[in-house]
Amino acid sequence: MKSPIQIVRHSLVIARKDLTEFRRNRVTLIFSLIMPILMMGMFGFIFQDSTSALNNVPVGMIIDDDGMYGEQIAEIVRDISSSSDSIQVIEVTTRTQAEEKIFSAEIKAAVIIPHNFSSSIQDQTQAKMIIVTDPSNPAIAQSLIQFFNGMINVASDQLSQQLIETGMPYFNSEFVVNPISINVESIVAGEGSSFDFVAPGFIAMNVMMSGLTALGAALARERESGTLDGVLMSPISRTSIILGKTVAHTIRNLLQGGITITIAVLIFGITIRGNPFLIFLILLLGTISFLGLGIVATAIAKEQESAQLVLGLLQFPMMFLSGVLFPIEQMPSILQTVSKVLPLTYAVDALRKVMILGVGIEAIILQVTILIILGCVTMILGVPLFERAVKK
Amino acid sequence: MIRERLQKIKEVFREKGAISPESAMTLKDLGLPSRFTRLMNGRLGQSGLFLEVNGKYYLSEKQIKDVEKQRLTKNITEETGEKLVNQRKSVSGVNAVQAEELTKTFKDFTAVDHVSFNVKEGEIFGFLGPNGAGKTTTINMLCTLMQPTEGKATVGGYDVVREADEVRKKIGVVTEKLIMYDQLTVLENLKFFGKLYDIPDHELNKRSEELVKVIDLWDWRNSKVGSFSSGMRQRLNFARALIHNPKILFLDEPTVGLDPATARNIREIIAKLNRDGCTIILTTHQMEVADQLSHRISIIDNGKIIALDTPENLKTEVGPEATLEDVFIKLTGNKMRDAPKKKRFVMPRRFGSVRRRFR
Repeated sequence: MKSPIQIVRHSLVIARKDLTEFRRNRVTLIFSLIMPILMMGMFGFIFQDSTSALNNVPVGMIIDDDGMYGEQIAEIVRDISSSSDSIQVIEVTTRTQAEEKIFSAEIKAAVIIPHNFSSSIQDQTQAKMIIVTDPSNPAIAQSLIQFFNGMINVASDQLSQQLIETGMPYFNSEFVVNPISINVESIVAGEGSSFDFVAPGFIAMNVMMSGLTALGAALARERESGTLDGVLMSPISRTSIILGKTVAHTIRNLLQGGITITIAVLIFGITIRGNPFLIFLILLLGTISFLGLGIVATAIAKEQESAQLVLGLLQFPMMFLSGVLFPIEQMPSILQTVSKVLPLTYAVDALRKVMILGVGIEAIILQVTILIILGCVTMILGVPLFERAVKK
Repeated sequence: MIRERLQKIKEVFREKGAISPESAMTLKDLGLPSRFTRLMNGRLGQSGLFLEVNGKYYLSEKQIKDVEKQRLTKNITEETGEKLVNQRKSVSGVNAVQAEELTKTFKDFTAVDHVSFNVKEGEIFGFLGPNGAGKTTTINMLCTLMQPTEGKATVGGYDVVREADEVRKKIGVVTEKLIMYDQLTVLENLKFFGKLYDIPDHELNKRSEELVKVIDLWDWRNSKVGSFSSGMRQRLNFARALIHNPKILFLDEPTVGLDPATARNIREIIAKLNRDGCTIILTTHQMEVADQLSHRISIIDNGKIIALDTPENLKTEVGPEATLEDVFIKLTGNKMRDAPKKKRFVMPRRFGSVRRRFR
């Protein structure tokens, strides 16, 4: 039995060798950087100014106003919520609470009816409604703004009709045409672009893709070239082999992620609001859990060809259902449920929140916990599975 | 240039003690006229002897070139046709490898069928057999790469299953697949594998440099091995197996595909390793190599050992003047084969008058 120190020392020898190999393999190095940037550029431009269909999007509503008009508008919003599938209204008491809920993704936007709403109407000045949006999902935000604009137009018409009928003493013409207006406020400073939405998604997806396939491919290559036998014939623990490869791929993935983010900032002008260490942590956890998942999948499949199929089966649903390309909220509810069991969903979500909303660790504690658990479980399962797989 | 070459040969001579190294010079160095030099060069080159003047030995330029071409590392005065057999180390009574009823079954196919044999310490043991006979599977089990289905084996006194790590420390394996990383240099490759055996750094540096010189890749020590010729790769693979100074060596086709000079060089290294006390299990299809090197030869076929004796005894049994190849063919038959045996697809008669066979 090897001591843990020996196991770690040997795994570092292997990690160093693997990293030297990566460094020298220029073509792979360059293409592994080009891929995510290319995808980011493509989808960033495709999704520019796009809106998405609303499907039970949770929206918070705060009624600060205590007059009759505020309640009337709230009633209209509630009506729409219960009669259609587009939004789902959740009543919130304060703006701070609403913002917290946006950060934790419980709601996608908040509608605020301010305290002077009714009094403004009585004074015949335009009453303002505030919509707070979430820039980490520009498509949904855009759709919600359009949706509420439409709704307020109808409500405005009704209100002016009502005011004329009740016979108000005099009329401010601007007020009669549009008694209610909408102010859109973003939860963080600056405007969100489609690249802000796309970049974290592709960075996380790249971590997933290379993580899942990395060890399987590396082992297949070493088996093919015979070097795996050379390593297996030496007196090192099998754990060292897998540990060393994990370390090497983690370092590579982190560097790759870092470079991709830098390029994304320089080329696509995305703004990073979050703590770099938190971004690093998410990338690290993501890499380890996907490497682990990859080990388990490849070890179960035994042959490289079937491993490819198993990995494809994991990769493709994750690519499309984890909110990398399309917001989860616009998917049918059954697919939304599926997305909840895909680990990439949590990595993308956490990365997006940290990068765009600039949230702290407390807002992504659930995602981080899920990634840690996945990483631990797959690694604990993966090591003995790998040992079994190399035994002939 | 010539001085450098001469220096190299001097080093070789110093190691082998063939002639006094100080005396090895070119004829030019003697200050002889060029016509005479040319004449002497021709004679010396052909006879393979040295010019002796007043008890000192001189090499011709051509000979120096020849010597370098052949990468001769052994005593040059030795008669080339002389059999390496005569230098074989005496064999001790201790078993280096012991296989008892060793069996390996894959699904519906028994590759190795209750095989038992012993290899003595200090022995060169030829392990021969046609393709698919079970040689590689047996070796793989002894090298701890495969687990036996039945039976047991010890290598260097350790059980190959229970004490695999102890076995791994003792063995060096030259596989037919060349084990090396294309993106690493010669020295990096050797050092990487050395570190897996916990060789201390300074010792590892020294040993890898020594080995690089032995396999004559010193000038390429810092080049990536991806672009190497197959001969260079094969030599590196050989050095890789020796990095941790193994007491027991498994060699699978160590000289196949090499040019005659390199092959001979490798054979000589094998013989030298054996003289230094290394036990060697040699797998090859080259009968003359096995004949030349092995103390004992076993022939395996269909997963069973069908002959085990000294090459001399095996040959005498078949007849006077018989070669090991004759023995081999007599014992295993002369039909072609390959593993695993597949059913041949036979074209039905109605598709043509000629029945074609597809393998």
